[in-house]
This record gives sequence, structure tokens and C-alpha cells, in this order.
Amino acid sequence: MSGYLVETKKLTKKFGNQLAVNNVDLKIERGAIYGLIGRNGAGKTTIMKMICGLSSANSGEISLFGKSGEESRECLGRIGTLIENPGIYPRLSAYDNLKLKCIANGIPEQKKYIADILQMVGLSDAAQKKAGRFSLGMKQRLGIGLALIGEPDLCVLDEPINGLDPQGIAEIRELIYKLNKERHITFMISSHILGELDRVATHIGIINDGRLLEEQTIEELHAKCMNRIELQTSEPDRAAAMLEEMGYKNYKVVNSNLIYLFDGVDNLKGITRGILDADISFTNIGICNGNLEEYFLEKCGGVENA
Amino acid sequence: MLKFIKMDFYRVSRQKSTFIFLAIVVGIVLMTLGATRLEQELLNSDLLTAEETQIFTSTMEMTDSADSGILAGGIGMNVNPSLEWMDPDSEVPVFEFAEQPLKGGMIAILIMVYAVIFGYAERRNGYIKNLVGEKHFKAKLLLSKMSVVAVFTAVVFLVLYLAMMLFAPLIMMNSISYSISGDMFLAIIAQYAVHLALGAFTLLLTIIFEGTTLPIVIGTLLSMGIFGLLYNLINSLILKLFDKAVSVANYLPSGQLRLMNGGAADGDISRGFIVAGVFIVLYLILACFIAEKKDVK
Repeated sequence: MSGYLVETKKLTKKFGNQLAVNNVDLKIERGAIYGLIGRNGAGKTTIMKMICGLSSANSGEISLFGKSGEESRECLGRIGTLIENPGIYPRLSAYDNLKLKCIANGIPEQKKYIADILQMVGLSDAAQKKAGRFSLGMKQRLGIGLALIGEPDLCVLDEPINGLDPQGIAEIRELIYKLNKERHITFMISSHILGELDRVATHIGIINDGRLLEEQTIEELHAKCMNRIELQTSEPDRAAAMLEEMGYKNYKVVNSNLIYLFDGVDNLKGITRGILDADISFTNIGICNGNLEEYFLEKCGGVENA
Repeated sequence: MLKFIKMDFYRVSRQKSTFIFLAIVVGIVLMTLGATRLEQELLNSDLLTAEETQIFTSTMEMTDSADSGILAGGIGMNVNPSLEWMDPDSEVPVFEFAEQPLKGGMIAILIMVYAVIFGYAERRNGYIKNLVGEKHFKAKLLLSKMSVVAVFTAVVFLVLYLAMMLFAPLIMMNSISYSISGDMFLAIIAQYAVHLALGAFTLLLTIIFEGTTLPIVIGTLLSMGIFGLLYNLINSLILKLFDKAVSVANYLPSGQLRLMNGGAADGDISRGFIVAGVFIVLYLILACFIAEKKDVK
């Protein structure tokens, strides 16, 4: 496979008859902060579990660090994970939870190493407190701390800011950003808080019903979100056919009066002329600004499905 | 894998549950000794009539024969001490006396519950997700758990015999003998192996059922000899079909529990070792295979 840090080809996972992940081709570049957006049950966690070796695929291929097949499993040690809820022993202290993973990773000089990790995730004062007595936010921090043990090259974090207060979210965002820049750790992050992902991610993958709908850089996504043509027409079917004829396939019929066109922002005049030439009645056409959330909802089939 | 073993032993040292289990072993010893002392006092007092004494002793004789393996597969946890020890003037060999809780299945239950609780903890709380990294890490983690169970079982045996040696002279009315024969020593080691096989079995159950309740229930029933009914059914089937008298309990770790004692025949002890060894390997291979195949929830 290629030089991507993570690459999946036609990755598929079934639970019984239900297709949880459907032919996903995903690519994560080295040094990226890859944000995976999708509603609950879209397949985010399942993809992450398969990448981390916690779950096996029914079909398809996963390549890690340029290695595929059985060879890729040898690279699992370079991955730090926080999947679903933070996996911690509630009756052990934060320090002991971290120490267990240090022992499993064969890390010597654990005291200083653990102190550094605790400081990094802001738990220095709670080192000896039992993890079971932590707030959800503190547990998340401990989970991130566990993922960082062993200097991973790739951190897979599933909803890492879940349960954090606004200050905690900002701190974790800063931490991810800092680790990415200073230690060159590649991140794969899933989140429901799209605004947060928008702030930290360099790449975004949108997943819905097990399918990866889109994968692009944040700049590309911003360009798409911020600029789109909105066409208000009473003949959406004819307008859609006309757009297809003009070679614009990236559009969405929102309702019986509205079409969003995500391409062709630089050709508003040409599109308007085309509509007029085809004698399609319309009340308004213009370039509108959207945001990531609107874009995501449109991609996933609207508010009722999200 | 050595790193996982070190990790698990560190966890054992940091958690109170292991020490609680060992305290329960001491409790079982005290209860066994206390109950025997009460029986001794009752039999040697004027409280029972001659008829009641007759009923009492014949019940003990019956359980005596069950212990010796003749009724292997009998149900229940009541294992009474030998009738001759009821005489305060008799000498009680402490290592032989310590077989009571072993044959009663209490220690087996304790080991199986520990294996389930300790073996399943990181799956239950999700810590296993932090441990991805090594190839076949799920199987390696399982083998690491088995090594902890093996050491725990050895410590349980040690605590059992030490507590018996310490408390027997304080509680029993008899004089205590601390001598141990070679056969008795071998029987203890064979019992250890059989208990370890039961621990491995419950580890396998936790992987199959992905939970703790069913393995604990099955383990407890197994230790209580409830499956004796099934064994007897199989025995009679074999007898009917092949005209051969076979006791399947002789070839299963749970059946071997009640066969092993100082007075057991050499064949029983050897069979105990073989049965335990074969089943430990079998259970572990199966458990590792299933663990590797199953997704982590």
C-alpha cells in the first residue's frame, strides 16, 4: 500500500445482518489531525476499533505505517488509543492506572515519566486519588494520558472531549495541537462537537450509515461550507436535470423549493444563464455562506436523520 | 508476555480483593475446625441419646464413603471429618484433615470466583483497550491471567495448610500430628493441579460468555458436584451401550476433586495429574483461540 500512516481499502464490518462499516476507503496522512464526523451508530467507533486491532474486519484491508496484512499488526504498538469510555481500574489511583500501562509497555524510570504524563493531562494533583472517584472529565483526561504512554506515533481518540467542561475542552484541544506540532503525533479523533473538530482537525472524514461520504482537508471543507449556490425554484427536478447536463453533480435538492449546489460558485453567471435558457422558473439564486454543521447535516440527510 | 505478567502481578499487589480472598480461606479453615469441634463436643457429651448418636455416626460414615470416591459425583458440600477423629484421644494428622475444605469444594469455588473476577476485570472496565500493541495480545493477556491464577492457587493452598497447622491445635480437642507422607504430598500437588484446571475452565467460560455471572454460577455448581447427575447418566449410558462400567468423573477435573486424598491409590493421583494437565492445556488453547477470534466489546 501507499505512504499513508493509515489507509483502509474497502473496509467492511457486519454485525449479524447489519452492515456497520461499508466499503470504507480512508486515508490518514502522517502528521495530520484527522477528524471523523458521524452521528451515533454511523460506524466511527467500529472503524477505530478495527484500525487498533480490537475488532476484525469482515472484508477489506487496513494498512498501518505503510504495512499491510499481518505485518501491519506489528505496528499496533505505535498506536495509543482511547476508544469509547476511558478504560480504567476504578479502584486504583490515576498513578497506578498509568503505571500498569508503563509496565505493559516495558517503560523504565516510570515515576518521572508518569509525573510528566499526569502534568500534561492536568491530573498532577489527583495522582493518588482513586480513578473511580474522578469526574467524567477527569476520567477522559486519564484516558488520554493512558493513550499517550509509550510515545505513540498515532493516537486514536474516540470522543475525547466527551464530558469535559469548556475549559477542559480548550485544554485538550491545546494538548492535541501541541502534541501534534511538537511531538509530531498523528491524531485520529471522532467527535460529535463539530465546532471543536473544526478548530483542531486538519482533515475531516464524514461518515454516515457505515459509508465514508467525504474525506478532505479542512480548507477544502471550509471552502465547500462557506460557499454554495442556493437556488429557489418551483421546478427542482428540471433544475437538477439542467445542473447535471452542465456537469454539476455535487448538489442537493433540499425541498420542493430549494436546491444547494456545492460546486460552480465561481460560475454563478453561467449557471443563471443556463436556468434562464432552459426556461426554469426561479425566485432567487445566489451564493450563500454555510457552516460545518449545516454541511454535515445536509450530507447526512438532514436534521431528522442526524 | 512477561511484561503482561509483571503488569498483572503489580495489579494483584495494589488491589485488596486478593487479600480478602485469602482471608476467606482462613475463615473456611476456622469454620471447618469450629464445626468439627462442635461435633466432637456433641458426640462426647450426654446430650445425645444412644439412638441419636447411632444416626449421627451412620450419616458421617456415609459421607466418609462418598469422600473416598466410591460415590464420586455426589452432590453437596458437606464433607465430614473421619469418624475416628471424633474421639478426643485420637491423633489428627493435620495435612489429612486439611483435605476437608478441598474435597468439599469451597476452595475450588473460591479459586474459580477469583479467576473470573481477576481474569475478566480488564475486559469489564475496558482497560484491555489500552493494551493494544502486541501481536496476539488478547491470548497473551489470557496466559498472563492464568499465571496469576496459578500463583494465587498455590498461595491459597499454602494459606490453607498453614492456617490449619496454626489453628488446629488451638481449636481441636485432639492432639495434632504434623507428619506428611510422600503419597499425601503428591495428593496435595495433584489437588493443586486439579484446582488449577478448574481455574482455567472458568477463564475459558469468561471468554465464551463475555461476563462474570454465568461462569461463577457454572463454577459453583461444578464444585458442588451438581454435574454428578450428568456423569452418572453418561456412566449408565456407556454401561447400556457398551456393557462397560466406566466412571467419567475419573476423567474430569471436577470429578477428580473428591477422589484425591492421602489414602488415594497411586492410579488416582497419577490420573489426577494427567487429567488436570490435559484439561489445563485444552482449556487454555481453546480460550486463547476464542479470545483472538472475538472482538473486544
